[in-house]
Amino acid sequence: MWGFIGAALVVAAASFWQSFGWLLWGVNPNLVLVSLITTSFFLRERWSFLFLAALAGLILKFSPSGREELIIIFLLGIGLAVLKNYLPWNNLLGVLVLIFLGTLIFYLFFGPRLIFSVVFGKEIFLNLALGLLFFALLGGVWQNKK
Amino acid sequence: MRRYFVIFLTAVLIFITYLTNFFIHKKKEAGENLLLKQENQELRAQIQKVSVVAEDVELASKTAKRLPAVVFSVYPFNIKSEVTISLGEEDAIKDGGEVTLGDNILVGEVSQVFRRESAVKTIFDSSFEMPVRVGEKSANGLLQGGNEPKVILVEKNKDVQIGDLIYSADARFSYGLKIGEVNEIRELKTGAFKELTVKTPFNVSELRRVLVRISD
Repeated sequence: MWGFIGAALVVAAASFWQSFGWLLWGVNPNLVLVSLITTSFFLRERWSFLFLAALAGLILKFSPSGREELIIIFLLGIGLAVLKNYLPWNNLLGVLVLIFLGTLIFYLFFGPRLIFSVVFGKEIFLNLALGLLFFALLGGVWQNKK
Repeated sequence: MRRYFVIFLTAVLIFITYLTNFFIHKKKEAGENLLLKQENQELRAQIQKVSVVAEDVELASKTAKRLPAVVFSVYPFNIKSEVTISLGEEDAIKDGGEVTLGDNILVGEVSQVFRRESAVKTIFDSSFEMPVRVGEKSANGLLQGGNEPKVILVEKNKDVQIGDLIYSADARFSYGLKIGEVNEIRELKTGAFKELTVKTPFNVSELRRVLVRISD
Protein backbone atom coordinates (compact mmCIF):
# COMPACT_ATOMS: atom_id res chain seq x y z
CA MET A 1 0.00 0.00 0.00
CA TRP A 2 2.67 2.47 1.05
CA GLY A 3 4.79 1.42 -1.89
CA PHE A 4 1.98 2.25 -4.30
CA ILE A 5 1.40 5.61 -2.59
CA GLY A 6 5.10 6.38 -2.86
CA ALA A 7 5.07 5.53 -6.58
CA ALA A 8 1.94 7.62 -7.12
CA LEU A 9 3.55 10.60 -5.40
CA VAL A 10 6.68 10.28 -7.55
CA VAL A 11 4.68 10.07 -10.80
CA ALA A 12 2.30 12.88 -9.80
CA ALA A 13 5.12 15.18 -8.70
CA ALA A 14 7.07 14.45 -11.89
CA SER A 15 3.98 15.14 -14.03
CA PHE A 16 3.26 18.44 -12.30
CA TRP A 17 6.87 19.55 -12.55
CA GLN A 18 6.94 18.77 -16.25
CA SER A 19 3.57 20.37 -16.94
CA PHE A 20 4.72 23.69 -15.49
CA GLY A 21 7.59 23.78 -17.96
CA TRP A 22 10.34 24.32 -15.39
CA LEU A 23 13.58 23.88 -17.23
CA LEU A 24 16.76 22.14 -16.18
CA TRP A 25 19.87 23.16 -18.08
CA GLY A 26 17.65 24.91 -20.63
CA VAL A 27 15.55 21.84 -21.54
CA ASN A 28 12.47 19.95 -20.30
CA PRO A 29 13.53 16.48 -19.12
CA ASN A 30 10.84 13.89 -19.82
CA LEU A 31 10.05 13.33 -16.16
CA VAL A 32 6.81 11.50 -16.86
CA LEU A 33 8.49 8.87 -19.01
CA VAL A 34 11.35 8.52 -16.54
CA SER A 35 9.04 8.16 -13.53
CA LEU A 36 6.74 5.66 -15.30
CA ILE A 37 9.62 3.48 -16.45
CA THR A 38 11.28 3.53 -13.03
CA THR A 39 8.10 2.78 -11.07
CA SER A 40 7.28 -0.11 -13.41
CA PHE A 41 10.29 -1.94 -11.94
CA PHE A 42 8.80 -1.70 -8.45
CA LEU A 43 5.07 -2.17 -8.97
CA ARG A 44 3.95 -5.80 -9.23
CA GLU A 45 0.34 -5.20 -10.15
CA ARG A 46 -0.15 -4.08 -13.73
CA TRP A 47 -3.47 -2.33 -13.03
CA SER A 48 -1.75 -0.11 -10.46
CA PHE A 49 0.81 0.82 -13.08
CA LEU A 50 -1.90 1.53 -15.68
CA PHE A 51 -3.61 3.80 -13.18
CA LEU A 52 -0.37 5.77 -12.69
CA ALA A 53 0.16 6.05 -16.46
CA ALA A 54 -3.40 7.38 -16.86
CA LEU A 55 -2.95 9.80 -13.95
CA ALA A 56 0.25 11.16 -15.49
CA GLY A 57 -1.57 11.78 -18.77
CA LEU A 58 -4.30 13.78 -17.06
CA ILE A 59 -1.90 15.93 -15.08
CA LEU A 60 0.25 16.55 -18.13
CA LYS A 61 -2.65 17.43 -20.46
CA PHE A 62 -1.82 20.90 -21.69
CA SER A 63 -4.72 21.80 -23.99
CA PRO A 64 -8.34 20.82 -24.63
CA SER A 65 -7.43 18.25 -27.31
CA GLY A 66 -6.34 14.68 -26.50
CA ARG A 67 -2.97 15.16 -28.11
CA GLU A 68 -0.98 12.44 -29.81
CA GLU A 69 1.99 13.06 -27.54
CA LEU A 70 0.04 12.03 -24.44
CA ILE A 71 -1.24 8.90 -26.13
CA ILE A 72 2.29 7.90 -27.17
CA ILE A 73 3.67 8.58 -23.68
CA PHE A 74 0.90 6.39 -22.23
CA LEU A 75 1.55 3.58 -24.72
CA LEU A 76 5.32 3.92 -24.38
CA GLY A 77 5.05 3.65 -20.60
CA ILE A 78 2.97 0.48 -20.90
CA GLY A 79 5.05 -1.03 -23.72
CA LEU A 80 8.34 -0.48 -21.94
CA ALA A 81 6.88 -1.82 -18.70
CA VAL A 82 6.07 -5.05 -20.55
CA LEU A 83 9.49 -5.11 -22.26
CA LYS A 84 11.28 -4.92 -18.93
CA ASN A 85 10.19 -8.49 -18.17
CA TYR A 86 12.38 -9.72 -21.01
CA LEU A 87 15.56 -7.83 -20.18
CA PRO A 88 18.49 -10.01 -19.11
CA TRP A 89 20.16 -7.33 -16.98
CA ASN A 90 19.76 -6.12 -13.42
CA ASN A 91 17.03 -3.58 -12.66
CA LEU A 92 19.27 -0.50 -12.66
CA LEU A 93 20.72 -1.21 -16.10
CA GLY A 94 17.25 -2.12 -17.34
CA VAL A 95 15.89 1.26 -16.18
CA LEU A 96 18.65 3.17 -17.96
CA VAL A 97 18.29 1.21 -21.22
CA LEU A 98 14.51 1.66 -21.27
CA ILE A 99 14.76 5.39 -20.52
CA PHE A 100 17.16 5.80 -23.43
CA LEU A 101 14.94 3.73 -25.70
CA GLY A 102 11.76 5.53 -24.60
CA THR A 103 13.28 8.96 -25.20
CA LEU A 104 14.57 7.93 -28.61
CA ILE A 105 11.21 6.48 -29.68
CA PHE A 106 9.38 9.62 -28.54
CA TYR A 107 11.68 11.79 -30.64
CA LEU A 108 11.36 9.44 -33.61
CA PHE A 109 7.61 9.99 -33.49
CA PHE A 110 7.49 13.72 -32.95
CA GLY A 111 10.84 15.31 -33.65
CA PRO A 112 13.16 13.10 -35.72
CA ARG A 113 15.09 16.18 -36.91
CA LEU A 114 15.94 17.02 -33.31
CA ILE A 115 17.68 13.70 -32.64
CA PHE A 116 20.95 15.16 -33.92
CA SER A 117 20.58 18.35 -31.93
CA VAL A 118 22.03 19.51 -28.61
CA VAL A 119 18.52 19.49 -27.12
CA PHE A 120 18.20 15.72 -27.58
CA GLY A 121 21.64 15.14 -26.08
CA LYS A 122 20.83 17.25 -23.03
CA GLU A 123 17.47 15.57 -22.57
CA ILE A 124 18.97 12.06 -22.75
CA PHE A 125 21.58 13.01 -20.17
CA LEU A 126 19.02 14.53 -17.81
CA ASN A 127 16.53 11.68 -18.26
CA LEU A 128 19.19 9.11 -17.39
CA ALA A 129 20.42 11.10 -14.40
CA LEU A 130 16.89 11.57 -13.08
CA GLY A 131 16.15 7.90 -13.71
CA LEU A 132 19.05 7.02 -11.42
CA LEU A 133 17.70 9.41 -8.81
CA PHE A 134 14.15 8.01 -8.96
CA PHE A 135 15.51 4.46 -8.87
CA ALA A 136 17.49 5.24 -5.73
CA LEU A 137 14.46 6.92 -4.17
CA LEU A 138 12.05 4.11 -4.93
CA GLY A 139 14.65 1.49 -4.11
CA GLY A 140 14.80 2.92 -0.64
CA VAL A 141 11.08 2.25 -0.29
CA TRP A 142 10.98 -1.21 -1.79
CA GLN A 143 14.54 -2.55 -1.53
CA ASN A 144 13.75 -4.62 -4.58
CA LYS A 145 16.59 -6.29 -6.41
CA LYS A 146 16.51 -8.79 -9.27
CA MET B 1 -12.64 -5.53 -5.02
CA ARG B 2 -9.69 -3.17 -4.82
CA ARG B 3 -8.51 -4.25 -8.25
CA TYR B 4 -11.90 -3.50 -9.82
CA PHE B 5 -11.88 -0.10 -8.17
CA VAL B 6 -8.43 0.65 -9.64
CA ILE B 7 -9.59 -0.53 -13.08
CA PHE B 8 -12.66 1.71 -12.86
CA LEU B 9 -10.58 4.72 -11.81
CA THR B 10 -8.10 4.06 -14.62
CA ALA B 11 -10.94 3.96 -17.17
CA VAL B 12 -12.32 7.25 -15.82
CA LEU B 13 -8.90 8.92 -16.02
CA ILE B 14 -8.38 7.70 -19.59
CA PHE B 15 -11.83 8.95 -20.58
CA ILE B 16 -11.24 12.39 -19.07
CA THR B 17 -7.74 12.72 -20.54
CA TYR B 18 -8.38 11.60 -24.10
CA LEU B 19 -12.07 12.10 -24.74
CA THR B 20 -12.94 15.39 -23.06
CA ASN B 21 -11.83 19.02 -23.26
CA PHE B 22 -10.99 19.14 -19.59
CA PHE B 23 -7.42 20.00 -18.66
CA ILE B 24 -5.83 21.34 -15.49
CA HIS B 25 -4.98 25.03 -15.90
CA LYS B 26 -1.42 25.57 -14.81
CA LYS B 27 -1.40 29.34 -14.83
CA LYS B 28 1.32 30.90 -12.76
CA GLU B 29 1.17 34.17 -10.88
CA ALA B 30 3.47 36.95 -12.03
CA GLY B 31 5.80 38.21 -9.33
CA GLU B 32 6.56 41.90 -9.11
CA ASN B 33 10.08 41.44 -10.46
CA LEU B 34 8.82 39.63 -13.53
CA LEU B 35 6.19 42.30 -14.23
CA LEU B 36 8.80 45.04 -13.92
CA LYS B 37 11.19 43.15 -16.20
CA GLN B 38 8.49 42.73 -18.86
CA GLU B 39 7.47 46.38 -18.59
CA ASN B 40 11.09 47.35 -19.03
CA GLN B 41 11.42 45.15 -22.12
CA GLU B 42 8.22 46.62 -23.58
CA LEU B 43 9.47 50.19 -23.10
CA ARG B 44 12.82 49.29 -24.61
CA ALA B 45 11.06 47.74 -27.61
CA GLN B 46 8.98 50.91 -28.03
CA ILE B 47 12.07 53.11 -28.08
CA GLN B 48 13.93 50.84 -30.48
CA LYS B 49 10.95 50.73 -32.80
CA VAL B 50 10.95 54.50 -33.29
CA SER B 51 14.18 54.38 -35.24
CA VAL B 52 13.06 51.67 -37.67
CA VAL B 53 9.31 52.00 -38.22
CA ALA B 54 7.69 54.90 -40.05
CA GLU B 55 5.12 56.90 -38.11
CA ASP B 56 2.16 55.96 -40.27
CA VAL B 57 2.97 52.25 -40.02
CA GLU B 58 3.39 52.62 -36.25
CA LEU B 59 -0.01 54.30 -35.98
CA ALA B 60 -1.71 51.47 -37.88
CA SER B 61 -0.12 48.95 -35.52
CA LYS B 62 -1.16 50.91 -32.42
CA THR B 63 -4.81 51.03 -33.48
CA ALA B 64 -5.01 47.26 -34.06
CA LYS B 65 -7.46 45.72 -31.63
CA ARG B 66 -5.85 43.34 -29.14
CA LEU B 67 -7.45 41.27 -26.41
CA PRO B 68 -5.61 40.29 -23.23
CA ALA B 69 -5.29 36.56 -22.53
CA VAL B 70 -3.96 34.51 -19.64
CA VAL B 71 -1.42 31.76 -20.39
CA PHE B 72 -2.96 28.52 -19.09
CA SER B 73 -0.20 26.06 -19.75
CA VAL B 74 3.04 25.40 -21.59
CA TYR B 75 3.76 22.50 -23.96
CA PRO B 76 5.75 20.21 -21.68
CA PHE B 77 8.19 18.58 -24.11
CA ASN B 78 11.20 19.82 -26.06
CA ILE B 79 9.75 18.89 -29.45
CA LYS B 80 7.97 22.20 -29.91
CA SER B 81 7.22 25.47 -28.16
CA GLU B 82 3.56 26.17 -27.58
CA VAL B 83 1.39 27.73 -24.93
CA THR B 84 -2.35 27.49 -24.32
CA ILE B 85 -4.16 30.79 -23.73
CA SER B 86 -7.55 31.73 -22.35
CA LEU B 87 -9.20 32.99 -25.55
CA GLY B 88 -10.86 30.90 -28.25
CA GLU B 89 -13.62 30.75 -30.86
CA GLU B 90 -16.08 32.46 -28.55
CA ASP B 91 -13.75 35.48 -28.43
CA ALA B 92 -13.42 35.68 -32.23
CA ILE B 93 -9.86 34.32 -32.21
CA LYS B 94 -8.75 32.96 -35.57
CA ASP B 95 -5.93 30.68 -36.70
CA GLY B 96 -2.78 32.63 -37.46
CA GLY B 97 -3.65 35.49 -35.11
CA GLU B 98 -0.72 37.57 -33.91
CA VAL B 99 0.21 37.16 -30.24
CA THR B 100 2.37 39.73 -28.48
CA LEU B 101 3.83 40.56 -25.12
CA GLY B 102 2.65 44.10 -24.62
CA ASP B 103 2.16 46.02 -27.87
CA ASN B 104 5.64 45.66 -29.28
CA ILE B 105 7.15 42.20 -28.67
CA LEU B 106 6.16 39.26 -30.85
CA VAL B 107 5.44 36.00 -28.99
CA GLY B 108 4.09 33.92 -31.87
CA GLU B 109 0.92 33.02 -33.73
CA VAL B 110 -2.30 31.17 -32.92
CA SER B 111 -1.92 27.63 -34.25
CA GLN B 112 -5.13 25.97 -33.06
CA VAL B 113 -8.42 27.41 -31.83
CA PHE B 114 -10.80 25.64 -29.44
CA ARG B 115 -14.05 26.91 -28.06
CA ARG B 116 -12.61 28.85 -25.10
CA GLU B 117 -8.87 28.32 -25.46
CA SER B 118 -6.23 28.49 -28.17
CA ALA B 119 -2.79 27.07 -28.74
CA VAL B 120 -0.05 29.54 -29.69
CA LYS B 121 3.11 28.50 -31.52
CA THR B 122 5.91 30.69 -30.18
CA ILE B 123 9.06 31.96 -31.88
CA PHE B 124 10.99 29.27 -29.94
CA ASP B 125 9.31 26.50 -31.94
CA SER B 126 11.77 24.82 -34.32
CA SER B 127 9.23 25.00 -37.15
CA PHE B 128 8.65 28.77 -36.71
CA GLU B 129 10.03 30.83 -39.60
CA MET B 130 9.45 34.37 -40.75
CA PRO B 131 11.18 37.14 -42.67
CA VAL B 132 12.72 39.79 -40.44
CA ARG B 133 14.80 42.94 -40.71
CA VAL B 134 17.81 43.87 -38.65
CA GLY B 135 19.00 47.25 -37.39
CA GLU B 136 18.51 50.77 -38.70
CA LYS B 137 19.85 49.79 -42.14
CA SER B 138 17.00 47.19 -42.36
CA ALA B 139 19.10 44.22 -43.43
CA ASN B 140 16.84 41.37 -44.55
CA GLY B 141 17.03 37.95 -42.96
CA LEU B 142 15.00 34.84 -42.12
CA LEU B 143 14.24 34.02 -38.51
CA GLN B 144 14.51 30.32 -37.65
CA GLY B 145 12.83 29.38 -34.40
CA GLY B 146 14.16 26.91 -31.87
CA ASN B 147 15.56 26.80 -28.33
CA GLU B 148 18.10 29.32 -29.59
CA PRO B 149 16.44 31.29 -32.40
CA LYS B 150 18.69 32.61 -35.13
CA VAL B 151 18.49 34.77 -38.21
CA ILE B 152 19.94 33.29 -41.37
CA LEU B 153 20.41 34.52 -44.95
CA VAL B 154 21.68 37.96 -43.93
CA GLU B 155 23.82 39.29 -46.76
CA LYS B 156 27.48 39.50 -45.80
CA ASN B 157 27.87 43.05 -47.09
CA LYS B 158 25.05 44.37 -44.86
CA ASP B 159 26.21 46.31 -41.83
CA VAL B 160 24.88 44.60 -38.67
CA GLN B 161 26.08 45.22 -35.11
CA ILE B 162 25.67 43.36 -31.84
CA GLY B 163 22.64 44.80 -30.05
CA ASP B 164 20.81 45.78 -33.27
CA LEU B 165 17.04 45.37 -33.18
CA ILE B 166 15.57 42.36 -35.01
CA TYR B 167 11.98 43.05 -36.00
CA SER B 168 9.13 41.47 -37.93
CA ALA B 169 8.83 42.01 -41.68
CA ASP B 170 6.20 39.37 -42.38
CA ALA B 171 2.78 40.16 -43.82
CA ARG B 172 1.20 37.86 -41.21
CA PHE B 173 2.24 40.19 -38.37
CA SER B 174 2.33 43.91 -37.62
CA TYR B 175 5.42 45.44 -39.09
CA GLY B 176 8.19 46.30 -36.65
CA LEU B 177 7.34 43.98 -33.75
CA LYS B 178 10.46 43.22 -31.77
CA ILE B 179 11.79 39.66 -32.00
CA GLY B 180 15.00 40.35 -30.11
CA GLU B 181 18.47 41.81 -30.49
CA VAL B 182 21.57 40.57 -32.25
CA ASN B 183 23.56 38.51 -29.75
CA GLU B 184 26.30 37.12 -31.94
CA ILE B 185 27.32 37.44 -35.58
CA ARG B 186 28.65 34.35 -37.34
CA GLU B 187 30.46 34.94 -40.60
CA LEU B 188 30.09 31.75 -42.62
CA LYS B 189 33.23 30.78 -44.50
CA THR B 190 31.32 29.77 -47.61
CA GLY B 191 28.41 31.50 -49.28
CA ALA B 192 27.23 35.06 -49.43
CA PHE B 193 25.41 35.16 -46.10
CA LYS B 194 26.04 35.46 -42.41
CA GLU B 195 24.09 34.19 -39.44
CA LEU B 196 22.96 35.98 -36.29
CA THR B 197 21.98 34.49 -32.96
CA VAL B 198 19.11 36.23 -31.23
CA LYS B 199 18.88 37.54 -27.69
CA THR B 200 15.16 37.37 -26.94
CA PRO B 201 13.39 39.72 -24.50
CA PHE B 202 11.42 36.90 -22.82
CA ASN B 203 11.39 33.16 -22.07
CA VAL B 204 8.34 30.99 -22.67
CA SER B 205 8.33 29.98 -19.01
CA GLU B 206 7.94 33.68 -18.05
CA LEU B 207 4.75 34.20 -20.05
CA ARG B 208 1.73 34.97 -17.89
CA ARG B 209 -0.40 37.38 -19.93
CA VAL B 210 -0.27 38.10 -23.66
CA LEU B 211 -2.23 40.15 -26.16
CA VAL B 212 -3.96 38.57 -29.16
CA ARG B 213 -4.72 40.64 -32.22
CA ILE B 214 -8.31 40.45 -33.41
CA SER B 215 -9.04 40.73 -37.16
CA ASP B 216 -9.72 44.33 -38.15
